[in-house]
Amino acid sequence: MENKQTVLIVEDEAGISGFIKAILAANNYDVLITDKGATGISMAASYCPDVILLDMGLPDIDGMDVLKNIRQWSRIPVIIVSARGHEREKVEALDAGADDYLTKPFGTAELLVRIRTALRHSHDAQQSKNLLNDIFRVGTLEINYEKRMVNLDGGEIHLTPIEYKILVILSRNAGKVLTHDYMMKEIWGPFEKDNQALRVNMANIRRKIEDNPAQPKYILTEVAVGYRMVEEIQYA
Amino acid sequence: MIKQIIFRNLGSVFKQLLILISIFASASLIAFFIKNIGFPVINAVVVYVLSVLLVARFTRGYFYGILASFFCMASYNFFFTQPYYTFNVYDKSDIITISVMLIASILISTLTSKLLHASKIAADRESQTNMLYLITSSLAKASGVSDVAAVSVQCLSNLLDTDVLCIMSVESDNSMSLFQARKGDRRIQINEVDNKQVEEYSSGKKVIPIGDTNNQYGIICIPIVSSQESQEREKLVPAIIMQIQSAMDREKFSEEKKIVKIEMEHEKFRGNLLRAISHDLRTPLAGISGTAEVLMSNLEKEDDRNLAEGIFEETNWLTQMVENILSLTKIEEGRLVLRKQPEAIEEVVGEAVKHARKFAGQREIISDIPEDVLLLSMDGKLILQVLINLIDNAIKHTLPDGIIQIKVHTDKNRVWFRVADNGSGIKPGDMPYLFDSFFVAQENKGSSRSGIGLGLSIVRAIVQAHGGRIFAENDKNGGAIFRFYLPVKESAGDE
Repeated sequence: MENKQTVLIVEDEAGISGFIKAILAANNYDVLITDKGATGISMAASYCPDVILLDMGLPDIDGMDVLKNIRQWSRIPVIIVSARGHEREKVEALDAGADDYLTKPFGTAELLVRIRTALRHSHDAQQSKNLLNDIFRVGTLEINYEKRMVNLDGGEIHLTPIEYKILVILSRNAGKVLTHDYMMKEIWGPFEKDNQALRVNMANIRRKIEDNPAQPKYILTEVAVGYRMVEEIQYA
Repeated sequence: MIKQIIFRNLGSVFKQLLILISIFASASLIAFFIKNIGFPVINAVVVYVLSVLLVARFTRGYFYGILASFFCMASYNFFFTQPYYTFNVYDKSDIITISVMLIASILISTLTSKLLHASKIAADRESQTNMLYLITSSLAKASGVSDVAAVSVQCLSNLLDTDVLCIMSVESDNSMSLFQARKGDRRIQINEVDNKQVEEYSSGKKVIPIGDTNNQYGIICIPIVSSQESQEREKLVPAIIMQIQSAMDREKFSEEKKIVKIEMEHEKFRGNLLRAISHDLRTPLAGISGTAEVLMSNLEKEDDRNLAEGIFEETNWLTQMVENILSLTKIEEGRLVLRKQPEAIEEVVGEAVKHARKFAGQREIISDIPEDVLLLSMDGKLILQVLINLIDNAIKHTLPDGIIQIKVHTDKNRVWFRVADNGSGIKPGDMPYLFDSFFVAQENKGSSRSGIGLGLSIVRAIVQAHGGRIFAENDKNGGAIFRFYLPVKESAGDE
């Protein structure tokens, strides 16, 4: 491959960074590894990696501080690696500008999907001008942003304006997890604190586009964090 | 003894009379002097009235004042009214003077005595209050029941100006300790005593118990005295004993609290240790499972790939267990903080099914939720774990082609979750222990994948923390059914 993409891993556990490196190298990525937050920041500045994998528990500085520092000067996609049960930490990181998160322990497939998504979004950001004229397609779901139309299996789906707005925000960020707070701010403005309306609207959207709302294909739930629209249908 | 008292009283009477007579004599002398230098005789009346006032001021009780009034009247009549040196009166106006003088001086003497008496009572009360305050504040400073006892005997000894004993029973080893404060000695002797000595010490003394019927701390012994002053002071003793008792109660409770606290510290330490170990296991496990997964796809030989898969599966199982231990330590410590917010039931169920599919193999997982949107206030992450644990449990007890059914339905104010399988069911003998920590079904003992029996106890703890309950039963057609409900407190909005 002539132009490999670079992934910077900021992770203090050699075991984990080792196997991530093995996976990524096997999938044609260049890998940089550091076990310290401070070196992570300087390496992000000097190597300009395409994606950063950032562990939240680092020995020298808090992962959150590393993220905030990087976000001051760069839009490089950052994927947070954090332990199970630290949902608050994840939400905070996402709201502070992280692009996605991985929960330990994670599998090979999950890791690669997250990295691909993050990379694609960084490209999208560079060429987002024609995005508004786009049509979003996943499975048999089709969103025509220009006509403001949503089709499923070729038939039109009727959505309320709010439901449509939610679907647009999710599909524009397909593959990325969006926190409840972020979505509410986007749709209802900064003063709505009760996310009940979001839940109800989401449930109604699912009743319209999912075969079984309890086993969604298109919009996945990240419990206690937010929602994620899939980029491609995964069959279990 | 009685003689002494009489003597003392006689002495007192003598003293009072002496005061009376000397004041009266001085007043008479001054009156004569006034008369001799030629001032009007009526001035003598004023001098006599003043003398009655002075007598009332410096003697105790009404008696001496009134006596002085009559003395003065008689003396005025005798020396200063015509005819002199007789009790006869010529001038009618003198009768009025004498009567007014008598009435005025009696009134003055009684008023003064009353006033004196009242001020004395007030002073006594104040000193009692002060004394109580002093005792209370020194009791408040004492720490530990025995310290309270030492302070108590000291204070009582100061108050009553006598020797005071306090005998306390020591709880730990049926022995008794004696606190002894001697009159005028600031030191307190503390000895260990036995029953016999206690009797010796307490005989011939006034014995006051400290504590109520349930909670006897000990006794206080004070000598029986009969002086009026001491008796006055002894009236304070019950109030002080109450103070002592409440101070001892306080110290006892704080000691008990200390013990409980130490025990809690131990428990906390144990939990922390377990958690620290589990926490530290988590990261290398993630590394191992990841590496095994890489090997699974990278290795060339089929056998090697199978070995890597074995590592991967075992690691995942171990990870699950570590997570369970972490949850359990949190729950046991009461650190389980519910972050409740309204969650859509279908989202939680969907997520649980998605997660469980990874471990389900060929088993079919069917979910059935109500048509209406159901929002319920809960800690989504924890209820998710409940469902995952229940499904996981069903997976363990079903054949590889088993069917697991998750159903949600509502009644008036509850949301019911039901996880049913078509597996081996629950043995009747296992039913009571199902939700106990570290309980493992008999059939599964010895199998490497049995787990350590934490899943269901965590489930129950979480459900109970949400105010719900969980039930287990067997299906008539075979298989186990786990049902739990969560109460609907906040509105379950639907459109």
